[in-house]
Amino acid sequence: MPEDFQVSLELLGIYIEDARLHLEALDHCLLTLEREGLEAETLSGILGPLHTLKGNSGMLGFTAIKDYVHRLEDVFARIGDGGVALDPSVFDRLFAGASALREATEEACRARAEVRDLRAERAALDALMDQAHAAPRLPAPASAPVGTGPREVRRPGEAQYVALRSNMVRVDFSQLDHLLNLVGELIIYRTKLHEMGRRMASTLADRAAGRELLEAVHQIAGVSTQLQETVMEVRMLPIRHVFERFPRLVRDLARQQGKEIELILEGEGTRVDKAIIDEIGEPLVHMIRNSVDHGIETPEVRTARGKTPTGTILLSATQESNQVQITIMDDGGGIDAAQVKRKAAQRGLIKGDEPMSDREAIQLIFSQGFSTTDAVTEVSGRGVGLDVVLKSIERLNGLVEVETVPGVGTKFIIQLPLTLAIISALLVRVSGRAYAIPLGAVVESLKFGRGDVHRIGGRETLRIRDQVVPLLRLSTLFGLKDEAAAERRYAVILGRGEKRIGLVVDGLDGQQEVVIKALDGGVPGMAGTVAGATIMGDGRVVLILDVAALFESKRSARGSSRAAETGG
Amino acid sequence: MLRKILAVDDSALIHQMYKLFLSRYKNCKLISAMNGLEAFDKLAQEEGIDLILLDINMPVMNGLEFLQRFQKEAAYQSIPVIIISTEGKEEDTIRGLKMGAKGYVKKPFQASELHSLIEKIASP
Repeated sequence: MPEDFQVSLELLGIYIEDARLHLEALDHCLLTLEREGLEAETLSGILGPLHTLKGNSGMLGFTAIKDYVHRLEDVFARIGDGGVALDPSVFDRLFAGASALREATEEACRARAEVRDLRAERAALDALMDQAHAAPRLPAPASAPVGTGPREVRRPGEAQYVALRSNMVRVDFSQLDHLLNLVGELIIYRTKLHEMGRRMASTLADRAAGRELLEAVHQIAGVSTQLQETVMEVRMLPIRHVFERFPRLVRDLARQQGKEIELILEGEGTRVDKAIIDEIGEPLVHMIRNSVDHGIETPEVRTARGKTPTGTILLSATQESNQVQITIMDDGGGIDAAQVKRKAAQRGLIKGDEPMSDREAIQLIFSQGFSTTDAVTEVSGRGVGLDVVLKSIERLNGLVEVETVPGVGTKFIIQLPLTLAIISALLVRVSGRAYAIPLGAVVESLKFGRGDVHRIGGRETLRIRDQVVPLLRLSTLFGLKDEAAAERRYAVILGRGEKRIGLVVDGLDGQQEVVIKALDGGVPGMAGTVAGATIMGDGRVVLILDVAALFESKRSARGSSRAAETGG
Repeated sequence: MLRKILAVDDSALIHQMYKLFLSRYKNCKLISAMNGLEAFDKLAQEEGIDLILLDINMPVMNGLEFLQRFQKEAAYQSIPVIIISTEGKEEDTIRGLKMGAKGYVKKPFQASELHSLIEKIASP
């Protein structure tokens, strides 16, 4: 460690943020070299980031990292003058080195001292240099000194980042969480004040005071909405933070499987709440693995099908109002509905003769215990299926859809909210209690009479247009007394992919933005039905339903009602 | 009396360290530029810059390109430049010194090294 100053968390934060960018540039450079061969511009583009990383590491006393990067600079210089040939084994060492550097920098920042031993990686580079000493040196322009050589090429986003950073303040994310919580409470009290004002305004004696109060509440509402939006904005990060690790992943996977794949990224600048950024990485890794493994064909198969030998995966993000949409599209073999049906029947997920549209059949890939390849591959065959992806995304209040054309390709569309902290919810009444349903899952709500309910296989169902929708009584689910006397009820139709269920409720109380409060340790007897709680303006605690879990519980209810032939 | 120091470096970490290291010079304003071109902007905006700390390896306009143009500007002749170099780029440091830089410090440097050089060159 340097002797005459303290390495503060702030310095480490700046260092690691910078190091991540430089190492990203290193991966990018290696990928480009591998794809396009030796170009002076590609090489000179990496020298700047490496040089800065070396300088920064030295300043913080990370000597092993500094020395390793220095050696890496030497290797790149020899790549430039032809002393080191770019063969696959060299790429393996360089990629391994980049990974080791990433670990080393992250660990050094966590531990505030160097932990990761880089000797093995260093030895691998030394061996390269030893071979290079024997090789002739070409008068290549890439090794020209700085100032006369070609300009460094920075990725456009990076330059902007550097320029902006001087205005930035580093904050602990937990403080932002706390801030958002406070804003949430402010909104709750705002609602409470609003209700008071309305009540007063409706009483003759308090009418004037009530109006004044409503006026003030209206102003508070404007400011608190802006405050909420600003806090949300501060918590957001570009989705680049997740996307940037995928070029390397796709490259490594494609290489393992002898496939040629180009990954195209779009909309990396789309901003999403950091809490979602933290959670979405794993499901996306799995979906990309899935596209590489099951989607893109080998070059031979592609050529035989009249396609280009190189497959393409497009990963894109776009924002639409308060949702972000992530698309993973490949031009691979597509999903064969007949094959999916066959496999699902083999695995006992469906009955062999169950009538089913192709669209419904494709949805089976999200079922638990489903996998289209028999051979467990090194890539996706780790016992993790798309069912796990679906669950992770639903935990984030998101949706996944799939569209596929056999022989042409597959497109997965993920819809996510921009934040996890506040959701739009439909408030419903059941046996005198209020519940909140995340609006994203609500397809429609409708009124029905007793005569509209049909019993099919012991289950209550409603026919909505040409679809039979099973009903689920919230009162039964929560063990509440059913006010069965009501002649007309409401059904809130929830959707999950192609599936629908209808929740039977006594009344609808409108839509509202609610702040989600996590429930500590869950609610006894309600495990898997409640996603959290929110506090209403009048201080009531309202439970937020876990829609994904409702679909799961519907399935179990169906099983038991079939066995007993009771239902309802 | 040092009143204004212009630090030119593309690394935010180094700027943060300057802030730390140069805090001993009370009443001295630290001005940051991320590359040579930005440094010229700052020179035009800020009057009375007493010292420039100049990194060599930077995008857009590097330290040597900066010096090449800087030494032709009559108005800036009295401002001393200290080169902040990095291991492995010794030949650039020599070229910089030939272009009129008054001294150099090599990264990684200690605060004390920087202080003694600044005090020798700019007599704060």
